[in-house]
Amino acid sequence: MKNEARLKIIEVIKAGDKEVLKNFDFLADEFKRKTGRNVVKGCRASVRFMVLTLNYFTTMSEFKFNGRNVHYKYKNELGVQVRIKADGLTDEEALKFLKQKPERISLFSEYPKDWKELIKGDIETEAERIQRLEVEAEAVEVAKAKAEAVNSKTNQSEKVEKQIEEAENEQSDSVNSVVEDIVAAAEAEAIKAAEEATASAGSDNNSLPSKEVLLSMSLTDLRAKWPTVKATSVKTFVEKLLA
Amino acid sequence: MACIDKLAEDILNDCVDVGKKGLDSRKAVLINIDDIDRAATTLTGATITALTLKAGTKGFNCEFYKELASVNSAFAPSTEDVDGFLHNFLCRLPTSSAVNAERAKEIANGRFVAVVETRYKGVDQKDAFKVYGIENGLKLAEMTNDSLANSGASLFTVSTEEGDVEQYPYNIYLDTDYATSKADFDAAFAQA
Repeated sequence: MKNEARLKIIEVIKAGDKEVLKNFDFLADEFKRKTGRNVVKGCRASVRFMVLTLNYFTTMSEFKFNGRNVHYKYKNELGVQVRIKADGLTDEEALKFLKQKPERISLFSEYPKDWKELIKGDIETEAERIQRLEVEAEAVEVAKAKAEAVNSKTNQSEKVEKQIEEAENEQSDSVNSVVEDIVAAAEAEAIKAAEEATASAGSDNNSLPSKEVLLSMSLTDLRAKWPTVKATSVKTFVEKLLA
Repeated sequence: MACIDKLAEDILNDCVDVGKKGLDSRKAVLINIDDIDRAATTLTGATITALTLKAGTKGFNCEFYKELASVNSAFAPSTEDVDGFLHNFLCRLPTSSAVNAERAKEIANGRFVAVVETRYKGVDQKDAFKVYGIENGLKLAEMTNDSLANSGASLFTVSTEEGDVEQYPYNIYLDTDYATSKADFDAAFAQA
């Protein structure tokens, strides 16, 4: 019986009657392959017989030690002292035992003909398979928890960034308003100074330079001398000034 | 490490835990001392918690019937050497066959550790297995064969060699529990 099929049968039988009925076709095929007999799905006794027979075949090992009640100690691949017994020997245990040292085949009286091929692949006992599944499930949960933690961190940081942005905006608004106040105050002062200058220069109106002289001056000088006059070109400035 | 030269606990007479004489299982296990993996064998005081042989080796059963095998030890004080205990294991080769002649020669030339199961098993069966000669081994001290006695069997005794001593009158073999130790004993401590 192939290892994968065997492990699946063990899993299904252990899971209970619901799983047996769910996987009935698969079990019936394996049963027919082993015994040549059909199973009637509607007959409880027939199904029970199939389950018992498959259970027997899956737990029976193709390997048998020389002698009954044989028991060996050996160091496994991790250097740990372990025991292998004739009583309850499984194919996987025997294959692991042989994979480490193929010359141990001399300790067996019965073994499958293709044992050399079987020891080449990965061998996993039932206990190791269960342990591996548990470790994988744990790893998946840890990864999920980490992902959730990262997500919540990202959300948190986004919130914080928003808050910082809002704070910056508020800050910039308040700074802007202060700057605006300063500028307005400066303008008011400039206007006042200009009005005073205009008032003092009011008597000097007749002493305005001639048009030709004014046109020869730069716009900057004109603006500095007559700040109340607003114009973007010298010609317009002079016209407004003389007006 | 300081010498053990003081009593540490009481010597009790427990009516529940009474002594018994004799050996059980109708066999002893003789291990060639060179086959013992000393690095992997662990002792805690008188108790051997792991008796590990080298890979590919095993002990050998020495079967007997009735009460025709025994073990004993005796304290051996010395004015010149270290004080200690001398161990002895007595058994027999049941028949005068060619196979047993080979065994006799091997026993004559070898050095062994003997493990037996006594009828006295102690509380929780933790004292069932006794080990003799774990430190220095046991060498053949005597072997006799008489066609008119003992049904033609060859009686032999392997003992602590002169000049050697063991620190304990016997060692106890206990690996985890009785069942595990029994399985090892039944398998003659075979190491694959």
